[in-house]
Amino acid sequence: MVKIMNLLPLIVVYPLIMAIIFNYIYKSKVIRILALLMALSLIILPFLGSYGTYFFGAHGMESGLISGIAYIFNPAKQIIIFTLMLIGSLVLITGIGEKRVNGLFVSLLLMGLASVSAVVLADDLFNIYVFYEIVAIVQTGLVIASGTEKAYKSAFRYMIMGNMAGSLLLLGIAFLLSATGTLNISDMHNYLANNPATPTIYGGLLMLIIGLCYGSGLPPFHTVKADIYARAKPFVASMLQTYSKAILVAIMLVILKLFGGLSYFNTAHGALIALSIFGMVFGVVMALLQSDYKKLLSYHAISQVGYVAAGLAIGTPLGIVAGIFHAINNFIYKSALFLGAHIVSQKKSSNLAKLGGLLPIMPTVAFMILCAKLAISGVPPFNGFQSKLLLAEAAMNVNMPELAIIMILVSVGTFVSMMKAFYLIFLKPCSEEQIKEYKTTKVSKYSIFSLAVLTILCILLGIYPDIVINQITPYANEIGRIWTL
Amino acid sequence: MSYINREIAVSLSFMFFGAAILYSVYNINVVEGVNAIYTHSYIIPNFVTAVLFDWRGFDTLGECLILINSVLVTGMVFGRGLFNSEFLKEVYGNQKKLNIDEIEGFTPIIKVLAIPMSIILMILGVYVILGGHITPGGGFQGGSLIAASYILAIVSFGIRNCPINFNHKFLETLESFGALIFLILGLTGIAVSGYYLLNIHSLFGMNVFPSPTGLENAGIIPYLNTAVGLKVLAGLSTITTLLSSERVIVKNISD
Amino acid sequence: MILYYDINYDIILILYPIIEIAIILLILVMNMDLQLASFITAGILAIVGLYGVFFVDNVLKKIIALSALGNGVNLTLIAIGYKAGGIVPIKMPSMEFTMFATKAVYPLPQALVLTNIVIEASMLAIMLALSIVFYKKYKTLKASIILKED
Repeated sequence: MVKIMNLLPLIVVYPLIMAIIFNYIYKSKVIRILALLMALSLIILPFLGSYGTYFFGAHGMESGLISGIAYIFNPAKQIIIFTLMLIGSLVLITGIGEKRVNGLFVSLLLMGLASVSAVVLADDLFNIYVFYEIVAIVQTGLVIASGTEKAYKSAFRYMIMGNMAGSLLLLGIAFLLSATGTLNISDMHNYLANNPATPTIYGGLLMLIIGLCYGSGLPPFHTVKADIYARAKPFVASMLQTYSKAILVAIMLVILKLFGGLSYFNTAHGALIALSIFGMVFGVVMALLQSDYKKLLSYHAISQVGYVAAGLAIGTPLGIVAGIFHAINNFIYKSALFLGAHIVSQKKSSNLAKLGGLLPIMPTVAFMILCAKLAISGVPPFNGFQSKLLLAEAAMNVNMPELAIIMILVSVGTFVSMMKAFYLIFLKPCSEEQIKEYKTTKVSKYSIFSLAVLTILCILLGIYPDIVINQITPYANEIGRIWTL
Repeated sequence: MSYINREIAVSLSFMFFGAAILYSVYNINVVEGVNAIYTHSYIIPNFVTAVLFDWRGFDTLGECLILINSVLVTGMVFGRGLFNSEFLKEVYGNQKKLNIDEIEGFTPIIKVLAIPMSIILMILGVYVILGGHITPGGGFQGGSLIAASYILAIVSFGIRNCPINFNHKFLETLESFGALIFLILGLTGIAVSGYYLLNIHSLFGMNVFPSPTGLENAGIIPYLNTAVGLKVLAGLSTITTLLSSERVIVKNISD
Repeated sequence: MILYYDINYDIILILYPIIEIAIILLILVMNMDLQLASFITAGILAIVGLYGVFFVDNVLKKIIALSALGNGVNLTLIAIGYKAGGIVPIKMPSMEFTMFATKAVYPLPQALVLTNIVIEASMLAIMLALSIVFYKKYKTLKASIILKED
């Protein structure tokens, strides 16, 4: 029998090799063509591997413990990575239309994609830590690439926080290593389930939660995170927020997998749900106060992180399905919104006070942005509606109607601020000179193409949510635990 | 008002974390677990290198990538490949001479001592890299020794008159080359058996690493060590050059 | 939360060496367990680092504090590998293998520390580069000026 080769590591390794090559030839003339080819080849990567556990260096089970680094691949992870790669390639395509695009930007983007996929795939805590730190550096680099003083400042703040949170995360991993004697997550869960809890394990859990908050932008790190989204170029910000949400899903699943079903996890459960509620509410309240379109979108990104975290933190199979599905929807419509902001700021600026009257100039773009806005506020028939419905249902199933009510209220807030922004950008009457000015500035075709792809996905997933949900359900049943309050 | 609130919140969270760290640390009770496997199976004499490159080789790959990434971002901070370099132009644009680059270094006593010291350090570094699988050391330690010798020369002579002069392009090539060797040696593992970063002992009946008895299992580890050594020495040296010279920034923002 | 300052708290850092001296005395006089002593030292080092990150109003000192935090974590990891009466995990040809395997200290934490040192160094490089640029711009290292939110 011919054994089919498992090419799973290529998901991580191929972008890394290309990133090094792009870094080396960063000024060359062929960057644009290579980047386009790269964008096309990224999409097939998630279909290379076969499902199951993959051991690096053939170091599998030895005397009852997994000795090396293991990856776990299943349909749920496949669809997360597919969405990630899709958005990566769309952002790359948008980047080709930029004036000063160079190899360094492409290289950073690819490294980020590879590392986030590694975090999603890995079944090993230390490996997650290493790639988590790469993602932190990549995000800093992508912010710095926009080159303004504010970008440098926010990158510096993000870096200091990142170093601190990273060190604390490693401290947590050290605690768990000392208490369980292994780094593999499945083995660690077996050990934790069969042995009494010690204070060291509590410390490890606390530090993991800090790492989670930093990686995803939950409070207390929401301001730094919103800042870097707002200071980066808008189309880069769509990539940054996708990274953060994928990290959130990955680390949250790790925490659930490690501690799910243990008696002492209940308090942490409550803390995670509280953090996600804070994230939702802070995000939307701050967003209502902003006068800059990019900042408004960044705070909404934080608020949406709260939704995803709430769904996952509930920890029932339905909650996990809803959380992952909402994360995937979020990748799509939030990226569409940031790409829309990119197009708008190419026309004039991102300051809401200076904009207005864009509707007659670009009606198609306006329609697509409206679709994304309706999707983020949870209006049927868009994808946001489906996942928010599932989230509310999951909250009701565990007897937490308060959580569902908060979700609906935050949705209303999102709708209000999104419609305000839509009015100020597209509908507000403006002067004749401004319309002339709009007509002279050109928008790149690449970004409109990416926006169109994302809009079609929004509608498609809104009508056929089962495409994604059926893929996620088996994994959610495996991790989730049924409970009610 | 908000400042005071912030102070209180930060102080409280600091106390909470401090207490949590001390409490957990005081109660650590080490379980042997997977360490038993690592100490009971013999691959090469240096067990730390065995863990680093064989059992957990993929982590080391991540470590390589993080250094490359850091060099890339440090270069970006100093104006390489930015979308917009107005801020750097505002800061560095209108100065007559480059202050840092003009520094002459230390007194003759230090200069006389620094050169033999750094040559010895370099030789020690090469030895540590090559012997990484049998003696204490390895690619990372040796690479940082060589970079340290370069830093010593730069600190004592100043960046302009430094007798040890690595070309920037050369260092960049070395770094990319080191990381690519690592990644591609891993890919050969897939080609041979389907496992990434597999430690291949022999190919076509020949030992991958020609070695005396007792070292048959070394396989690709010495090559990985060399790759990491090249990458670390190039990476740390590039960072030093970037941090200690303003000429790079002025060159970056002028084009 | 973040990085806030305004008051100069540096003076409290003097406590750190005093605590360290106390721990050394405990080891010498009371025969304290070496592993426990290193764990506590590591914890205190991490706390000092955390303290510096939160309260010290100087970017360079914040960066030094971050590396103290990182070193605290590294020391914790190293101390996990400790074995009373252990030997270096490098097998000499003359050693008998079973004896070596039972006596050698754990190699895994040492490998993790090596990886972490590189990660720390790379993050440090970026932060130093950023602080060089900001020093050039503002001619000061005060965190309350450089990191001010707008």
